[in-house]
Amino acid sequence: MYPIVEIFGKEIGTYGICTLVGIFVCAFLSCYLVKKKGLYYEDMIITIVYILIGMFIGGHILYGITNIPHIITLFQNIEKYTWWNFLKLLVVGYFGGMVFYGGLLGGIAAMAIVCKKGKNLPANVVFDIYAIDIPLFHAFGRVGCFLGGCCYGIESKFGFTVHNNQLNPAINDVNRFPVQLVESACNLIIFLVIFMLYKKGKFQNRLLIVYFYIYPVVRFTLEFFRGDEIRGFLFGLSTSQIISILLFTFAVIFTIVDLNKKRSKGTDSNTGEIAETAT
Amino acid sequence: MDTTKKQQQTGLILGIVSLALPIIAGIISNAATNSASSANSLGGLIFLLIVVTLICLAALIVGIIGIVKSSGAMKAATAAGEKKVLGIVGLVLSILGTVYSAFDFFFVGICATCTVCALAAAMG
Repeated sequence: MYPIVEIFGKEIGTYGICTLVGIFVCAFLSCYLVKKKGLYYEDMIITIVYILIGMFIGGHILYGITNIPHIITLFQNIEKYTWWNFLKLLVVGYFGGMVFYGGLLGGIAAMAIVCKKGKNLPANVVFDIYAIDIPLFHAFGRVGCFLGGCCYGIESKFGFTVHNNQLNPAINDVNRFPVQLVESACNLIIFLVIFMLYKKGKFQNRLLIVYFYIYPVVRFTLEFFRGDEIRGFLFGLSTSQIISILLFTFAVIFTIVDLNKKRSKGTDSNTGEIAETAT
Repeated sequence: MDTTKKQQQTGLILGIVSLALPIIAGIISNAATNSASSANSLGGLIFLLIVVTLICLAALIVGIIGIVKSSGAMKAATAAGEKKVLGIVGLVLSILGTVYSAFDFFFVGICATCTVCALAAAMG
């Protein structure tokens, strides 16, 4: 598609532009929602900065984890490489990319640290707003993937054929299913659903769990339509599919624990009431 | 008296620095590229490009600190009921500086340094 555009004489990646637009849109929305809650939006700006740093680090680390077999081979054959090629392969090749789930988890970790250390914004508010922002940001990101030519779909009768993409040559001259656009649309729908829930005050403080129920299912399914890399990390499933299963399981366990806590609280208050009436 | 003025000024200065650094890096980079055709020293070119990349990285860090400082100053100004014009300008400049330096660092600096270093490695 259009992996690079020229702005003011500089060549800039369209993926970067889409990501940037996504960040700004999400930042404005977050600040607006925080302000509406009667809190300082300046605190949200600071939190966003830390979240972005966390997302950046998390995304790269998980990308590195997916390349562990290659990294082990690299270290086993260390004497075959010059220092420059070794460093280039390790940093650019095996840690250079980013994985969405890594960014998501990195962002959550950063958010937890900021909320605990800073104590400026209540953690539950930030987590709810994060749940709204993630699918919105992801929708922009996937459009960037489509324009850049990465994360492409399988060969299909329906879709697009790309020519002369030098950044991702594997995509060229094959009609492919536009899985990036489908995921972008799905993310937009998830965003609308979570935003509506937030507006109606439903699932308060648990919107991130709602997201963990919906997105992993979407991602797990769409991974079957991806054609960009070898899809068979473990038991024929990709890394993202395994993480999807883990996240969904986490959401289920969290809900069970949450319900049990609520039930035990309810029983406690009921027994208290009975004891009071008896006396 | 504006008690938060100094805080806002710090944010503003950081914003200006973060925006100025990648511009300076761009000027150095252009000069290096133009002189590369005539110059014989590949080592000098590598050194310059590494310097440019490091300047962009420094600008990125300064920009992030600028955003945090400006936001903090703006919050303090709001709480004290003071004007926060300097803080807003500092925040905007810091964001612009961060974005500019990030693009330069990730799309130009690293690419250029990689290419030249690879060339140097190939030439022995």
